[in-house]
Amino acid sequence: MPENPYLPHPAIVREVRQETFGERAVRTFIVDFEDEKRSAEFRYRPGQLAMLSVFGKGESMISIASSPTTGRSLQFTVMRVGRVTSIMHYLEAGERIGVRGPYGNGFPMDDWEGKNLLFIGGGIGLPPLRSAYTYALDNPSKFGEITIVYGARTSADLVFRKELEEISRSGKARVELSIDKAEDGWGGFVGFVPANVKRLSPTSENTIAITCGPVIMIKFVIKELMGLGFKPGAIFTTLENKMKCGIGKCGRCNIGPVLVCKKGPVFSYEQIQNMPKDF
Amino acid sequence: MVNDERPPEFLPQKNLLGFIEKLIELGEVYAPKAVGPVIDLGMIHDPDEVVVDFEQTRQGIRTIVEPQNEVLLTYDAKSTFSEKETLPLMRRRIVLWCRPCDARALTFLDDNFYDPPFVDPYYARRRENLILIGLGCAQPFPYCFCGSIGGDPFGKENLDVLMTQVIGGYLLETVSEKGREIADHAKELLRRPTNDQMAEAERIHRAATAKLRRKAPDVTKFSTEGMSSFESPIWKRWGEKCIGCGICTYLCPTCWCFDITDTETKGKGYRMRSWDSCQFPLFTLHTSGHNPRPDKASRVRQRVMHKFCYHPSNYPDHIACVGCGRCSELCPMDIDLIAILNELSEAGEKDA
Repeated sequence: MPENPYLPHPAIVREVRQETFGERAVRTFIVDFEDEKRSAEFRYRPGQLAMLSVFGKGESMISIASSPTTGRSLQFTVMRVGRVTSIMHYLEAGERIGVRGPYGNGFPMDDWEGKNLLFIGGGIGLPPLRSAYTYALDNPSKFGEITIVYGARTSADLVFRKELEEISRSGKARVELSIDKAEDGWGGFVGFVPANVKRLSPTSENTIAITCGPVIMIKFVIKELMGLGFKPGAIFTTLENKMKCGIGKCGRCNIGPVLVCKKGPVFSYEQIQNMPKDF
Repeated sequence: MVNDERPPEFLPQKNLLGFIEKLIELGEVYAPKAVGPVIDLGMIHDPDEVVVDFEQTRQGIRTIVEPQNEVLLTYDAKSTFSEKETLPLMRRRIVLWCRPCDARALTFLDDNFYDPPFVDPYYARRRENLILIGLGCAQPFPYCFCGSIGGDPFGKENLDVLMTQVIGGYLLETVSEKGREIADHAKELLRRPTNDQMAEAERIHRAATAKLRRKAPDVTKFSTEGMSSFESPIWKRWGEKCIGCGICTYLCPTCWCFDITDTETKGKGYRMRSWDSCQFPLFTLHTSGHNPRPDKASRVRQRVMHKFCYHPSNYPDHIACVGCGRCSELCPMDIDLIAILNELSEAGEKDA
């Protein structure tokens, strides 16, 4: 009999990083499988998902925020918002969690070789994009120019802020940060993410745009991108519906006939246009 | 007719209890029995528990292959998950007298639980040790419409043995190797049927489909053209009627959706699987507050579209309805599946 797909594998939280504070705080958990062999077998692509178990509280599907190029540790960046994620925020280094996966299709990084990559994120939508831009930054010869446009409600809500500033300083990618409302000492753009995209007017030539964030942001970002000449097949996003099993059995994450946990979460806008409005 | 097919056998009525005893020797037996005020498939320990004169059991076979609640995994205070105590035993389960439609429903549950690359081991272990003895429907029930949706009151799909009630007993047709084992085990109780009995059974088979009072429209086109029904105005109307109780999905033999939750008692944890329903708003509610199916119209649409459009578009020709009629018969608001299908079908013809 093949391995039980519902069985989580024990993993140790090696480090916890506080990304943002407050009621909806965000933390990054750096996690290693206890079993070396499992660690080696867990091969994932940027944009894939994993089901995390917090003992006694349940499971939550979280996108993998690290890139396979950054070693065997997995990173999960989690906002404290639901029942399981709230408990997750009590985890400390050295504690055990359960991990099963990886799930989903991930980003088609191979198809994007030779292209410029434009990442557009909002709020807690950045972690899945981080998996892809880290992969691209670690494979500079494979991709053209990399641009990261990212915004949050306030400067305190920006995740990976230090890391993004380092990337910007290194010159490996162009990073454009924004916040929704003006703050003292903020040197970047003030306004919503789609407005920042409009202001920057990135070229659509030989460029793939990848966006993730609140549904309403994605909607308006896509509108801007189409205005800039991006073809629907060159715009990608991740749709993360509620999932319980992660393996296409429990029946809730579908958009029409498509199960997001198996065929997604990454879809091109071209694919989304052909889907029923069920998300 | 396959050459090695075993000729039909006859089980005299007086041998029925003995036959059930033989089945109990071979494994756990599930049969129609009184469960509170209804007749349902349940485990029996004594042949006398079996209700011989039953119509449709309240539920189909789902409850036997995917119980309403089950423990998937256990875990201890040290946070180690285990499947050791919870994977179903490889134990033979025999269903005596399921209706052919309920047996057919397993085709769609199989589609889901065996869909590669992940096999659901809980389902698979029960399914692979399941023996189904069907009882054909000589007199279909008021809400049945199997004949117009790919089924047959005496259909043999997924069955190991098909029984037909004739005067003085039952005609047995063994359909599979497992069915032959059952017949062999009970061979001293079986007789060679007379020509009259054979003819009577054939007459009953032929007459049964014609007795079906209800008919679904041709729904085969929904798998290719059904998406146009997504924006249909009918969903709002049916949604307004629905009270969201979920009974249609709980009694549907082709429904399989479930939830997974954790509970903890005395330092021991249990990861549970429980039936869930697309008719409940929490089914799809995101933590953010966003709900892709926020109203009853979208949830009624999901139930119908999944069975008649989404599933067959993923598994060609597999319309995930067997025409048992339970959803319509037991809906407290009289939401009638055939009426919905008729409206969709008529709308489709107008568009064409």
